[in-house]
Order: sequence, then structure tokens, then C-alpha cells
Amino acid sequence: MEENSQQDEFQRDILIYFSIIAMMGLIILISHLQLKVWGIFLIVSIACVEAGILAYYFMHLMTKKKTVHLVLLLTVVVFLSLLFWPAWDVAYSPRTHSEFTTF
Amino acid sequence: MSSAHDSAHHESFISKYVFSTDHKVIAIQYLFMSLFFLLFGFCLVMLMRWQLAYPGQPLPLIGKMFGEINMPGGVMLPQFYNQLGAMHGTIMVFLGVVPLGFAVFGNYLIPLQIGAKDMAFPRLNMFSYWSFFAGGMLMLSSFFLPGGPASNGWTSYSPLSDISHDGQTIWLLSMFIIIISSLLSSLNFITTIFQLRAPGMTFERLPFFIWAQLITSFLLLLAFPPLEGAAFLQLFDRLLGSSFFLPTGLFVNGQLADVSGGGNALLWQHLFWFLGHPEVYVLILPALGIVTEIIANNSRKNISGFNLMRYSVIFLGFLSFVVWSHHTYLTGMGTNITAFFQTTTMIISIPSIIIVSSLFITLWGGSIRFNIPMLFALAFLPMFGFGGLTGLPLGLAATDIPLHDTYYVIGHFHYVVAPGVILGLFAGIYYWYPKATGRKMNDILGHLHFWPTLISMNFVFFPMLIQGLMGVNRRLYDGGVTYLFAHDVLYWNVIISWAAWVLAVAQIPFIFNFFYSMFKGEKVTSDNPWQSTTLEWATPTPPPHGNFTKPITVYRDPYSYSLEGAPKDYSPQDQKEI
Amino acid sequence: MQETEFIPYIVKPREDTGLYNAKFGIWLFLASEVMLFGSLFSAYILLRVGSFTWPVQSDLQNVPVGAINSVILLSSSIFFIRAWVALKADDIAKYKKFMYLVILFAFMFLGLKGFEYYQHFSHGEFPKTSVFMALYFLLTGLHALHIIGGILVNSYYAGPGMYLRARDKQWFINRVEVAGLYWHFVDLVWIFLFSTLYLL
Repeated sequence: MEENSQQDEFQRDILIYFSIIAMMGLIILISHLQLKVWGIFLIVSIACVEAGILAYYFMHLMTKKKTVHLVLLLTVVVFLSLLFWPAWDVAYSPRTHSEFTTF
Repeated sequence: MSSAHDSAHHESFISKYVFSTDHKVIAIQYLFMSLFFLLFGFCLVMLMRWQLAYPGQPLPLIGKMFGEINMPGGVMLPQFYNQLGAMHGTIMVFLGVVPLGFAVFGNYLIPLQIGAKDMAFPRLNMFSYWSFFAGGMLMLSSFFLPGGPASNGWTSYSPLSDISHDGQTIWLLSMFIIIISSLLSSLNFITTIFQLRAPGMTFERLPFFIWAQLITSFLLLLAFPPLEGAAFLQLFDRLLGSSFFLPTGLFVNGQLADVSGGGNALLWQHLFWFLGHPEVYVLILPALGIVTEIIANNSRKNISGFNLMRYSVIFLGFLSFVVWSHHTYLTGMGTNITAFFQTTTMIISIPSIIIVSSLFITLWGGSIRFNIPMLFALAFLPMFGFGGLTGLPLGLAATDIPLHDTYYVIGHFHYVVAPGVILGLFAGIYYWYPKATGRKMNDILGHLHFWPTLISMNFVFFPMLIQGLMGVNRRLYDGGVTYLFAHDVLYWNVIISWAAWVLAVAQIPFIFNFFYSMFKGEKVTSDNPWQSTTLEWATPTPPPHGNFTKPITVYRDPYSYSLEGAPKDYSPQDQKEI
Repeated sequence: MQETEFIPYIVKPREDTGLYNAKFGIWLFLASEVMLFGSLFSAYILLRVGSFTWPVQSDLQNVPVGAINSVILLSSSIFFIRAWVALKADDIAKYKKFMYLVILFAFMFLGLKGFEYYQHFSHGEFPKTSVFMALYFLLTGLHALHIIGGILVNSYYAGPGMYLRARDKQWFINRVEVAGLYWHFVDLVWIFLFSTLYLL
């Protein structure tokens, strides 16, 4: 039984391995299409899914208790605010103009 | 169990007092270092105050000692003034107040107040201290560089910091080491508080001091890394010629800079203040925790609104991450984003007001004991409250326009840190000194320390608010002498400087008291001289390695004073009967 | 032995948090690392959104080599899991074999990275050439330093550090698990680095 569950775990790990590689291939394809803003959004989302799967299965996140989930949720919220503020500021700021400004 | 542990420890002097893993020894090590840095940083500003009160005058007696490069003929040069200013800020914040509030009191009290034998990672704790020591020494060593130490303010804004002399590189490297020390301490504290609480010590029964330290640790853990990132970016700019913070078309000394350009100077500001704002809550929260302990104890009452205080401090910690751009209102931000940060800044004043008000309300109907710790704690409340209120015009973008970068800002933040935080930290030293040493500090010397300190601090920082309202800029080495509009308020410079020197003299009773009482202070007759309820008083005095002599179980809330039907006016947390 | 009696929950997890101390601690450390790399990604976003021109990244970068490196690092993560499973099952020979594979693949990653750096230098692309190159070197350089740190830790636990297993078996297993969490995190950061710096 030990052996079986170990085998199952191993098979699951291999499945995840190949799915992450597949997603990576998908991203490479998308980057070739040069989709501009949509491309960025897609690529970042798929990267997040890849990272999420890695964290969930390889890092045993699914077995963790509420405490870890809470700490990570807090980190993610802070992280997102750090990430999206600069884009918002530059896009709406009257002093900078780039291909992304809306006015 | 602990005796087996002790006998296996053949502890030499080195392993017991130098490379110790005992949280109490580490706390004392941090204490001596941080008090030294506070004194050093204070001396730096006293030098600056001479220049501000008597610009261009040679400093008597010691002026010539600073060398021809810094003070030719005893007259301070602008560059040296800037260096003193930058180092004063850096040393006071990162090497003085934060280590004292967070590392000293946190290290000493967290295991004691939660009923644990030590921190979760004792060796990591020792590493944290020694890296703090290394970072501090590196920072001090920059004074001996040919070009002197960093001179761009504690905020080190780019692009000036990208191109200035070597002292800035040492600043960045020291900050890197200090940040590592801090990160490791925070994760040690958080893990300890979650994992090593004694049986019966639920989160609701934790003293407010522990809550404050927990939130502070989270702030340090998550807010310091962006400054580390920014330091890497600036180091790249300085050492490898990159242009993270250098915009295209930058002219340096009349010549176009030979860099790729494409950078953004504001990137530094945003990354710095992303840490910078949580940092100020890191300064205040330990002091709030200490003051809460002392007020509860010396009012012989439970803290009013304790539940609300806990929720407030969590909310405060969370909000502190989304207010940072009130430091960059005048950088040409769009109105949408300014409105966002203004709103969050106004909202964040609510939890702080709730906490301070709860402490005030606690005093109502209490049996107040006016001992020295309580005097400091009581002084903290109106001083911090006033300082916080002076922040409101700075938090509102429109009123910040005339006040930004003036002495008003300096007055505001010094009010909250000096008569605020530092008074709270002094309170803590007087309060826990008997537990750590077995002797009380002298009361007369305590009064000689307290009253002149409180009064002179107000004479130092209140006039700064006036000067700022009249438009005197900060970081002016001549104190505003060349600005016509400032002439009416320049006389305050002399008053402020003399008050600062009186403040320095007022610390002498404290320094003497601190060392004298260790050997000759009045011995305490009990392990719990303040008749407190929290667990740190349930140990022998001073606490041995392993802290508690018997297993601890917690039965009640932390501030169980004057309970109905209790025989005494305090009911310790670990005592089964009321 | 005595240390695990002095400080509880070094080996056994605490009931209400479900974690032993080191695992709690490493998740906190990883949270701070997220903020560190996050601030650098944030710098990337700000600089790119605010600039008039930005190079087509896949033109400047060696995407096939980056992709191979991604597979290498991911494989090393799988090997680490196998190593840890073997350690729990007391199969020390297998544990060591897989740990050596982890370390070998880590060196392969560094080797390819070094080759990429050399390619950039020989094309005259340095940090001072452009903001994009500066970001590339800083982000991948910091990541490489983390890989080196991981190599040191993993080598220690596959080699000289094995005496710790004789002292306390479960404690050693916990230590390796914690090292594994760090290693997976390094892999996770690379996923974002590859996507952002090569493909965006």
C-alpha cells in the first residue's frame, strides 16, 4: 500500500511536470504572436497558473493549515498593490506619456 | 529537562555572554548597541544645531577637532552639515530606535510573556544580532572614508545618490546587512509567537505588547525587502553604470551624463517609501505596546476597549502598506492616485486614535500610581497624540503643498518619535530594569531625567512647527539665513539649539542611573515588584536560562487587575485561583 | 536531543498551526523573498510602462536556452521531491543519488546562464547599455545568487551535514523538507523571470 501510494504520488508529480512544461510552451507560442496588451495579460496569467500549481503540489500548499494560507494571502495582497500601483500611476500621470497612456 | 540542558553546556565567558543564543543576553547586547547609537546620533545633531543657531561661527573648544576638510577653522562646511544630517537620520532610525523598540524589548520579553523558554530559532537570533553589529560598524566606518559618509539624507533620493561619493555605497551595503538582520529577527518573533505559546495562552490572552510586536514583525518582514531591492538597483547604478534611476537627458555638472538613460528617479522614491511608511509604524508600535503594559499595571485596571485595540492594531498594520505615497504628493502624481493615498492616509489615523483613546479612557477611574515608568507612559500619550495631529495637514494633499519639505515636517515626525516613541521606550527601560537586574533604578535621578527631558523636548520641536509654517525649508545648512521670508522666525533657531543642549544634559542622570543602579541600586524584595499580572514576572529575578522554573499554564486574560472577589488587586495569568 | 526538549515543535508539529517551527519560519522567509523579487518586478513594470521605446525582448534574448534552463530547473525540483521521499523511506543511497542530481542540474543551470551572460557581453550588452539589460542582469543575477545558496545548502545536506541524521532522524528529514521548499521557490521565481524577461 505504501508502495502504491508512492507510485501514485510519483505519477502525479510527473503529470504536473509535463503540464508545467506544456504551459511554458504555450507561453512561448503566445509571445511569438506579439499580441501587445492582451499578450502580456495572457502570459502573466498563465505564468501565475504555472507557479500556483508548483506551489500547490510541490510545496504541499494544499496540506497546509489556515495559518500559512493567511500569511500568503496577506503577502499576495501587498505584493499586488506594489505591482499594480506603478502601472496605474504612470498611466494616469500627466507628466509621462508612453504607448500605454490613455490620454 | 532544563538541568540536563544546562549541565551539558560547558559555557565559557564567550559562549555565555558574547556568542550567546539566550534571548535575554541577546536583548542586552542589542540594548547597549542601540543606546550607544542613540547617543551617537544625538551628538551628530547637536553639532548641526550649532551651525543652525550661529551659522558661520567657529564651534568653540571642539571645533578644530573635526579636521580641515569638515570644519576648517572650526566653521562647519555645507557638505559636512549634509553628512551629519544624513547620518543622524539613518543612525537614529535604523540603528537606534528600531533596534531598541523592536529588538531589545521584543527579544527580552516575547518568550517571557508567552511562557516560552527561548525564541524558536536561538542560533538565528544570535546571527541577527551579530549582523546588526556588523552593519552598524560598517555604517560608522563610512565616517573614515576620504570623502566622508553619505550626505543625501536618510532618504537617499536619486539621481543625486546615484552619482555622489563613496559614502553612499557604504550606506547601501550597511543597509543591506541591517535589513537581513531585521528580516531574520522578524521571522523569529512571528514563529515564536505562533508556535511557542504556553498551554492556555490563546491569542486573546496575549498581552497587547505581544500583539504590537507581532504586527511590527509582519511590517518589517514584508516592507523591508523592497528597500533591499531598491538598494540593489542603486548599487547597480553606482557600480555598474546602469540607469535605473537616471532619466534620459540628465545633465551632471553642466555635462550630459554618459549613461543609457531611460530610468526614473521616482522609482527610488516609491520603493523607499514603500518601506518608509511601514517603518514609522515599526517605530511606534513597540512603544504603544510598552505604554499599554505600564498603564494597565499602574492604573490597576483592565485596558478599556482591549478587543477594539487588537482589531485596530491589525487594521493599522494592514493599512500601513497602502499609504506610502503621501510622501510623494509633490512629485507630479496624477489626481486620481493622490486622492487614493489621501483617503487611505486619513483612514489610517482612525486606528491610532482608537488605541490612544483607549489608553486615556483606561485611566478614568483607575488607582493611578505615579512611579517613574508611569510618568513617562503618561507623558507619551499627549505628546504622541499631539504629534499625530500635526500630521493631518501633511496627510491632506492640498495643505501639504506649502508644508512639504519644511521644518513643519521635521517638527511633526520628531514629535511622534522623540517626545513620543522615545519617552515610551524610556518607560520600558525603567519598568523592566528590576526584572533584568534585580535592582530598581533610582527615583530621584528618574525625576531629574524625566522633567527636563519632557520640557526641553517641547522647546526643541514645537518652534520647528512654527518655522515650517512660515516656509523655512528643511536640510538648509545655514538655517534659512539667506531666505528673506524666514527672517522673522530665525531667532527660534537659537532657542531650539539651546533647548537641544539642555536635553542632552538631561540625559546624564539617566546614563548615570542606568549604570550606577546595576551595582548600587535598591534591591527588589520580590520577583514581581510592580504587582503585575503578565507572565514575565512569574520567573526568578533575573530569569535564568530557560526562564521558568515550573511548567506554565495560562488561566486568564492579561490585565486581570481588581477582579470581583479576588483577594489581591491583581490576578497573575498563571495562577489557577483568582 | 537536548535541544528538541528545550524548544518544542522542532520535530513534531504543533496541533493548532499544523506546522513544526522551521516550516513556519521558511514560509515567512519565502514571503519576504516574494516581496524582494516583487519590488524588482514592480521596477520592471514601472520602467517599461513609462518608457517611449522598449526593445523586443525575444530578439535580444536566447529563448531556446532560457526554455532549456526552465526544464532543467523544473527537473531538479522533481529530483528533490524524489530525494525527500527516499529519505523518508530510509533509502539513503537513493536520497544521495537524487540530491546529487539536484546539485548537478543546478550547476547545469548556472553553466547555461553563464553562457548567456557571455553571449550578451560579446554583443556589447552590459547593464549600462540599456535599462532592459540592466534589469535582466540584476534579476537573473540575484536569482543566480539564490541558486548558489541553494547549492551550498543542498550539498551540505547531501554530504557533511549527514551526521545530523545520526543525531536525530526526524529533525534531519524536516531540515531537508525545508531546504526543498526553498528550492521549489527558486524554481517558481524562475518561471516568472523567464516569462517576463524573455517572452513578454
